[in-house]
Amino acid sequence: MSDVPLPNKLVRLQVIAWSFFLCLTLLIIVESWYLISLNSQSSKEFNQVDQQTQQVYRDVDHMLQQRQPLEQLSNQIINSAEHFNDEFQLLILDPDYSDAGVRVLQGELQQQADKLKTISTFIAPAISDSLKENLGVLLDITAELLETPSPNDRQQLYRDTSEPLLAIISAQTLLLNQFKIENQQLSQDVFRATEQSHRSMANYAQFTHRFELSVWGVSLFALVANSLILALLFYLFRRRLVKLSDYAEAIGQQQFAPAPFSSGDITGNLAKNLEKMGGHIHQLLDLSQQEAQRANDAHAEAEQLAFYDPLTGLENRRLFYKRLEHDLSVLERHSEDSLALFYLDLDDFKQINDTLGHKAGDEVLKSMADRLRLTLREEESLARLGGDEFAILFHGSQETCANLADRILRKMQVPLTIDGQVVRFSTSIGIAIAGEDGNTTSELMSHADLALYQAKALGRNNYQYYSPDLQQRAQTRVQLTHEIDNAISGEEFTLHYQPKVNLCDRRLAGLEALIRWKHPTRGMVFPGEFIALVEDTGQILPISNWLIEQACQQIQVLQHRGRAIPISINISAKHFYTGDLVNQIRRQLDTYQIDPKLLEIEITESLLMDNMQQAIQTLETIRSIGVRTSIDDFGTGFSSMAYLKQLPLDAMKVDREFVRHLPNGLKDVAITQTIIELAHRLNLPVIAEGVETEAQLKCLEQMGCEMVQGYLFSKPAPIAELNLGPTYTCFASSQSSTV
Amino acid sequence: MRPNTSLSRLLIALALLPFISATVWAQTIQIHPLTGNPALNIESPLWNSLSSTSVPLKSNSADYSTSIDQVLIKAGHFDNQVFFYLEWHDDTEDLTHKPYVWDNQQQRYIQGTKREDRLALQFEISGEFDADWISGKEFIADMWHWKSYRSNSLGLAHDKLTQISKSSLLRSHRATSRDGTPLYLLRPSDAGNPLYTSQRYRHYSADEMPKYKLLDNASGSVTDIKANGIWKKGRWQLIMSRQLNTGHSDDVVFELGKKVRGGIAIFDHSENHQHMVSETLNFQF
Repeated sequence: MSDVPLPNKLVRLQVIAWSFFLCLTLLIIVESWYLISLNSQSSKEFNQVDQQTQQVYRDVDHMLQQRQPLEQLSNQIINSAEHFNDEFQLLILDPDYSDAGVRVLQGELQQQADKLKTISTFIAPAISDSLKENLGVLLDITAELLETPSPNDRQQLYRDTSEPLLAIISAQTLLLNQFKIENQQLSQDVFRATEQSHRSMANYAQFTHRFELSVWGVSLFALVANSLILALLFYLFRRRLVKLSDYAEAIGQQQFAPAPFSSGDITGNLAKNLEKMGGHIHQLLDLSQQEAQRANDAHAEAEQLAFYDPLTGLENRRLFYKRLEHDLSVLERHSEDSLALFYLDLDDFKQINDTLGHKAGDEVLKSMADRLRLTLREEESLARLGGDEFAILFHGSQETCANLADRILRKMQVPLTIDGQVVRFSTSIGIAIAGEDGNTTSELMSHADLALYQAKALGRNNYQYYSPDLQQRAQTRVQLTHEIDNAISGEEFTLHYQPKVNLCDRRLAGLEALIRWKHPTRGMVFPGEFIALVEDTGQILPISNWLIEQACQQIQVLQHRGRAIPISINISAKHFYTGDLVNQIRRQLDTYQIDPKLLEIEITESLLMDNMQQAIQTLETIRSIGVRTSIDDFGTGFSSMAYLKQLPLDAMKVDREFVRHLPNGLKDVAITQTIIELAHRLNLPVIAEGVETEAQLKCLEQMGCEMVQGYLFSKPAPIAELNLGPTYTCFASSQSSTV
Repeated sequence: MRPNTSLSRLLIALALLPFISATVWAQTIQIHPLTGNPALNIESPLWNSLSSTSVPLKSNSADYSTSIDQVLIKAGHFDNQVFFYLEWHDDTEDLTHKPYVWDNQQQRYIQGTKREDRLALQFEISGEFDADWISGKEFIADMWHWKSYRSNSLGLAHDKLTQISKSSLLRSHRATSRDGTPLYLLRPSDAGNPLYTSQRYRHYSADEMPKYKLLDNASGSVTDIKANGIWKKGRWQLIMSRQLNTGHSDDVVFELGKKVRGGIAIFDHSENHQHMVSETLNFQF
């Protein structure tokens, strides 16, 4: 078989089936051979049994012969018992009768007892015991009789033993008869058993012979029938396997159809399972297609989320950076066109959010995105980097760059109507040129950011190119930030105070505390050089706290000297809105135990405009603890009159810009006059800042201003250098009163 | 068995002479009328009113003797019953009769030596009664045989019959009279179910086993005599009673005013042939 190549597994299966069948046939032959040998062995055993039966027969015959002495003995006992009974009766009846006969009988009985002992080995124990017992009773009665001389006693003995005597005779007779019957029965039984054994063995031999023939016949029939059945089964099985193979192949080609046949056998189950499997595969394919579609959708969505801004639909920072990296990598160094990075953000977007809400802010951002998209060509990349920051990659000359920046600025200035409300906004742009201003993404972004910062610093709503000095300025800012940190920890800050003078009596109305920085190398640095920076960096908070503490401490010192002089301090917007301002003021008031009315908080009008509602709430809280409040630089902002009347204020200060052009500047005169009149209508005293000339002072007096401060009376100075004396006189000076 | 010679016969005849005269002058036992029925109560005061008679006893055999040399007797009748009160000395109370004892050598039971105490009253029925059975006289007598175990336990005395005959009798014992002639002694029990039966043992149960088994179905003439014997302080006290006339053919009939010959014998745990016996007595009713 091993030389024949097997075409497929089915053929192997057939070979295995035929091998199994041959083994089965071989097993039947072996079994038949075993039965034949068993028959032969049975014949031998039959002969052995026959011989054994004959032997048993002989043994029984021998045993019967051995029983003869027993029968004889039993006969003798019967005779002796009967004889004894006769003798006994005679002895009782006849007073002259001798007991010699009884004594002879006693001797005979004793002999019989002795003989019984010799043959008892051939007798069944029950019979032997019975004989012994009977003989014993006879011997006992005989002995007692001979020991009993009295006739009455002998009669009594006879009465009491006659029944046992008769019983012995009867028992012995019965035993004898039983012996005879048993012997006959035994002989007949042995004969019948032998006959039966012969007949049984003959029947068995006949049966085994017939069985042997039938086994051969059945084996032959089984061989032929099995061959035919197996051949038929293999044919059917192979045909079904072919169908199943075709069916499986069709399933493999995703051609789903019902099973080619159905039946209750294993092939039917296989077909059914294949059909189920095809159905499952069909479902799985559908599911996998759906899953693939979902995966594609999810991938697209993820990509959209990963690379595009969901609010505006523009590219996000990530994709923009990739694009920028790509463009930088393919940038042609000697091309006439350059690659420009525009970095934009909306001016005062926070204010839009705060005043109109985030929804409106989002609308503004979307509008800005639309406007920018319309402004640009398709090949230009536009991205929203986050918040109100946008970026553009523009390929063109420096001239076209400027044109684009102008177009953008103009486009952004077009008012936008949101929920019926007209919103105006502008944007600032920083521009960095690839190659000139940087070769890497981070360099270009950083430089464009600096240019944007510069545009913001220059009043917003403009665009600025990056230049190396911007970098220098940025570095200076970084250094300054570091130096401010050192100044805070090294106590380099100090306070100068500028008096506020009542115009009615020229007396001291109070002091304004102004911070100064005693720089170790640059000398005295004024707030204008670092306040904006510390507000950006957050350093304004520790500085502002320090300022409050210093003012309170100074008030305490003056109190101890007997002078209750109010001191005002300027609070930055950042500190004002942090929420910690009120607590800080409380702590310092408690620490230095001063009259709260001697402390005055000055806030700018622009600060109020950041969040008017919160400003009102905070000012009310500050006033509730007794601290005075005033609005600084009034007139520079766009305070709403509606809010102004709600502000809890104790004074209003006119900005020095209006005072500077008094009394000749007609507009400034009008504005200042208006402010003073407005303050008075609100029952607020007015303090004019930056008063440097007699004319300004005179003009302000005429307008009804209550208090002034400026170089005309005193420049800001350390408290020790100030004249806190009862009245002030004017100093004509040309020095600036910048604080 | 005595030598049956002429000389001996002569000697016996000479010896019997005093006995013959004794029969003529025999001791009389008066049967008094009783005022009540004493039943079998030994302590009954009725006995106090009666005079007692001491009856001398002698051994029936030269090789046998005991200290019992007399018996005290009172007798009375009441209604149709006769009562006898007898009292005699006995050192021991013997209540076992012929028990079997185990013989280890023979590996069987053999008859033991113990015997019960007994008393026998005899009354002449016919013939010429003589207390000496081997006197040579023939007679039939009623015997009241009280046995301390085999009858007293049943409240009875064994009612028997004694026949002495010179002719051979079936089931009798052959004896020899004083004159050397053979005598046949027959002592059958009265009719009825016996008082006891004997039993044997083939295998060992105990060292001593009783031979006699009392029967609880005793009845008939053999049970006519009621008896109650008590041994106390070295003396037997015995009462026997019976109807004057039982109506049974094997019993003597007592008639008031008449005299009946009789005798008394006492067996002190002895065999039949060893006993103390009175002279022939007259019982005056």
